[in-house]
Amino acid sequence: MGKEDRTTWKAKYFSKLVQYLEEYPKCFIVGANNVGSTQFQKIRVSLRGTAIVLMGKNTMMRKAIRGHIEHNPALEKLLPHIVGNVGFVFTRQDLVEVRDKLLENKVQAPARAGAIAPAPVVIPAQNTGLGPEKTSFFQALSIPTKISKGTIEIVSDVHILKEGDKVGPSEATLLNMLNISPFSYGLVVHQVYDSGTVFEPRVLDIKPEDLRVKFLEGVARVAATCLKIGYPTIVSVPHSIVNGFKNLLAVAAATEITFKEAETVKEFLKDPSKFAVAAAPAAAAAAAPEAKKEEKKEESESEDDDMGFGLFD
Amino acid sequence: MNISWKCFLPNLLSFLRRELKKLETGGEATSSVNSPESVKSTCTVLAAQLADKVTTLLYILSQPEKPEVEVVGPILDEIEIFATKLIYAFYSLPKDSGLTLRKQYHQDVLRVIEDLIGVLEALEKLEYVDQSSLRIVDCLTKSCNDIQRSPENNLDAVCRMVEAEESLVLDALEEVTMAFDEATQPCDETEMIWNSEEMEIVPSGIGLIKTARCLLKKIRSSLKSNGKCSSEKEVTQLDNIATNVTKFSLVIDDFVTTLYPPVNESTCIQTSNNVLNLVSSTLELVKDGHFMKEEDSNWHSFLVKALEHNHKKLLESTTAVTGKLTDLQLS
Repeated sequence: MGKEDRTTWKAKYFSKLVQYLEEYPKCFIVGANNVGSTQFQKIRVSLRGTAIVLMGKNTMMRKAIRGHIEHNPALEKLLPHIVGNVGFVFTRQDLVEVRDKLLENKVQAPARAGAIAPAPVVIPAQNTGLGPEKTSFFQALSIPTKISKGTIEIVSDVHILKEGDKVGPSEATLLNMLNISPFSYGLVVHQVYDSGTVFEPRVLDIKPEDLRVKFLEGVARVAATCLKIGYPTIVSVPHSIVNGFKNLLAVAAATEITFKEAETVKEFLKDPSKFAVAAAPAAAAAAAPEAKKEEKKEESESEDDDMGFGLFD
Repeated sequence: MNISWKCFLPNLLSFLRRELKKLETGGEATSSVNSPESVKSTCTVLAAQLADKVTTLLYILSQPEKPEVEVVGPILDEIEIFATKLIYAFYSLPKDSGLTLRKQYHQDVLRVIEDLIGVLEALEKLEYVDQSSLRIVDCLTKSCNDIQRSPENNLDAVCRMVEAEESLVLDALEEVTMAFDEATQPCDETEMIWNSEEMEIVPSGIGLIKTARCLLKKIRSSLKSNGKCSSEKEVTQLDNIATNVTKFSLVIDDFVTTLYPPVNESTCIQTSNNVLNLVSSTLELVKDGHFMKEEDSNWHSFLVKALEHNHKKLLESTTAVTGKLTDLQLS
């Protein structure tokens, strides 16, 4: 590429990025570690008509964005995320569909020395078909082998790499010799930008059930606060009643005062040996057949659930 | 008459938009003044309450039964109260607690209000709660949670800012170093093609960026070990440093882009001068900083020399390319 071409290319890159930021309301910031040029080509083809991939130097991307912040201040939120080996995928279409397309475009890749394992790697027990002269490779990695019909056989499954381990030269050579391509690489969505908002990709999969969980967390927080400050509300009253009942039981246990619900407790305290009698059938029941055991377990769980004893002590 | 709960939304939205506008322009003076610690705890509680109320609202609206005005109305009232209290809690943060801290709170509270408006606008348009409204609520919840992580004081705010700038400067440094390494290795697929004269410029350019990055690293570590923000002088010193530091990534990115081929010598000199000015003025600022101890003078004088050396080398190498460098530029 000549000097003039490169200058034009630089200028065009800035205007192209700005044009995409203006034209497309949504984009992904994607990580492109270990994605080769052929795979990039395939990804671009599969996204044709759906989305546009734009990679480039981070410094140039940040410069282009800074130059456009005046027109769209929300873009400033993108800047801290343009770090590392990243690029943009611009789209107007449904973000989940585009994300799924990106996920489809992962390819199996051999383990390269120095790479970080994105997943654990297990070499299954097998006859490798390799001659005995290769034994040293297996010995270097302490892999138990035996010679079977003149070839090396791995006698049991071997966990060769854990997730996050750095692939050593021996591991890489051995996996390649065994034709094992243990990793799959593709564009990984780091952040999502949608009409001025930047969020994590997990938000794309949020379901109404998650809302319910959050709602219940909120209810629990309100109940805890109300109990703490002694301000009764509809969510704290059940717990207040339970706590009050516990106090009554405690008073009954320590004095002569009694009432119907306290009688059992008082009886147990008077003669603890009754516990043993009560525990024996329970132990027997625990040893009962599987189905019966499950039934008992369910019962005890429902007992724990009833009034939240001890939750807000 | 059957009134929809949505009839409350226009008033609430226009109120919030008005408050947002005020907030964007810096807000209004308030008679009540609170310490940063007190503002943080108040904002944390209010943001959590606001997030809970919005979640409750969405939960009610996501149920199959049509929501009743008597149920939704009070929730919207509470949302308005919590949002207002949150904004006024920010206003109660005194200016002398530090401009960087205020700026951070300003951004955080602004984001919560923007996201809240986003949620309410989405609900105004929607007939039922769908995936997109759930996403917006999640963003609001995140903004509310971020307030819990707001800086404790001005020192904390400045440290975080230095750290963020340092990570962007480091990214730029790694990028240009990798590009240069690739270009100097025999490989057909290199993206950057510098000619032999341009190749002379890049190493001193990298040296200049390394100096800038090293300065940020040293400032961060000195601030963490010895920084204080109890007196007005300390707070002002921190703010002055923050004002400079916040420009680092911008200036370095501009410089790096001019280092890529084809190198336009005059632009490269100009952007390198910007780096020189920024780094040297920051060095000058930190020299008398309250967080600088005796042992820090070593790295300080080392960086002053490194800056001078790398910039001089860069100018010399560009002179070799252009032969047009004037004495004025050298000075």
